[in-house]
Amino acid sequence: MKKANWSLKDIMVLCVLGVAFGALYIGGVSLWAVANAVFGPVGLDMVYGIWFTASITAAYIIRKPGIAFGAEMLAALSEILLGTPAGVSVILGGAIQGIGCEAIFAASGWKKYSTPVLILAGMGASVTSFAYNYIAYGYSKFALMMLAGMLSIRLISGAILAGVLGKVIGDGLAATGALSSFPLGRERAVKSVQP
Amino acid sequence: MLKINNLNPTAKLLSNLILLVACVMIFDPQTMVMLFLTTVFFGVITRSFRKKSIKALLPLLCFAFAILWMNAAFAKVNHPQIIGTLGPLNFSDKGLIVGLSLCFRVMTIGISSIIFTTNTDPNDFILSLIKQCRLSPGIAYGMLTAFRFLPSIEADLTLIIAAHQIRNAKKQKWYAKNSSAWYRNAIPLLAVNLRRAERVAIAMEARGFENNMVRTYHKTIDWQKKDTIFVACAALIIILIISYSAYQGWLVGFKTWQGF
Repeated sequence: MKKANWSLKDIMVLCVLGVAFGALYIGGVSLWAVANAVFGPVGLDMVYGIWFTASITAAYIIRKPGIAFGAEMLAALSEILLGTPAGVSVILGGAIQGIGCEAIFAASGWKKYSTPVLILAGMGASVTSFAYNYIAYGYSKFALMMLAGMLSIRLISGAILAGVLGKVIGDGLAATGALSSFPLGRERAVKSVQP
Repeated sequence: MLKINNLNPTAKLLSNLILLVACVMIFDPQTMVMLFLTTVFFGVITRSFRKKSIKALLPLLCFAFAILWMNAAFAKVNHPQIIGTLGPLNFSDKGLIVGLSLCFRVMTIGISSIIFTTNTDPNDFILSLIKQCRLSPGIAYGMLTAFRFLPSIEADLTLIIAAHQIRNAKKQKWYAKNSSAWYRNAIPLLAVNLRRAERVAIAMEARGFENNMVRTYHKTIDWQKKDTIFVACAALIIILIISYSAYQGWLVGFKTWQGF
């Protein structure tokens, strides 16, 4: 197991991302409410990927062990501080989602941050969060086909809204030059000078 | 009126977690309604329900209602009696009971959270996390600093929008404008704040701040006897409600895997 060696700069950037995504997550509640009103709890699965974006983006930028988990926890903490209706349960939810993402990055030895790995990380969080919802919201009462459908939708949501969107946000930030002192920014700089 | 603002935030967090665990373990509507009403009563006597907090509860109420009808229509129960139909949906009596307990579970968790956030100062919460939960000062002060950036975000956004307008006066169709606006605004906004975070980190290091340093604090949040009493009372009330429900024969506890 690699030691999480975060510098103060990493922590500050992680906190800013945590607060920014915490605010985004609270905004996501409105989106969820609309999807919910139309599709029921399946609507939650459609938009659930939004709540994993912080961990994917942060891990893609900083590329250190524990960053995905830390980003999700800090986003959950800032959600509480900003006043989320889901309240303290988001800490537990954030930890479970963070573990799902971090497990994929850990499996790659925290060395691969390619699009498929980011998509897999989003899907990893989908699996762990679904297991949590299964217990917390009594999904055990639903039929197998319905559960399989809900999990499939959540996996797609995690892959697109977290995996792909997290990469798009990271790439967008790298293009501004704001990440020049982070692994993603350095990778971009090396690529730009290579023929 | 009861005041809980001066209690240790960790004590309030702990009470919330005890309630959360209890809610997750309960599957009957009677016990859940009792827990829900007790939580609402506590919210009323602590004056926790304000316009803003009630507005924040609306999405959760939608989710609770969706959980209710979906369980009434799709829950896997033994010998269901159909009590109503709506198009292709058949609502069963036992499904409705399951839905009601889950609906009240969601609302209880939501209202307890509103009580926590309404009665907790963010700074005290962070300081309490450092003292009682051993949160690293680097992360704690990082969070407090990041929160200081929030008021400037509005000014930054106005500046970014103005810059976009100067560079691209061409008007876009409404659908193109809305679909790309969030990205065009969010990326520079995040970039500005990340640069700011880097500068603050350098300034903090220059003043001798280290992530895991042993340090003194201007203000500390200590754990007092009243905090222990608060957590004990919360746990006792929950245990009393569950015991009464068990005595009446209503209680349905956490069910183990039953198979599909």
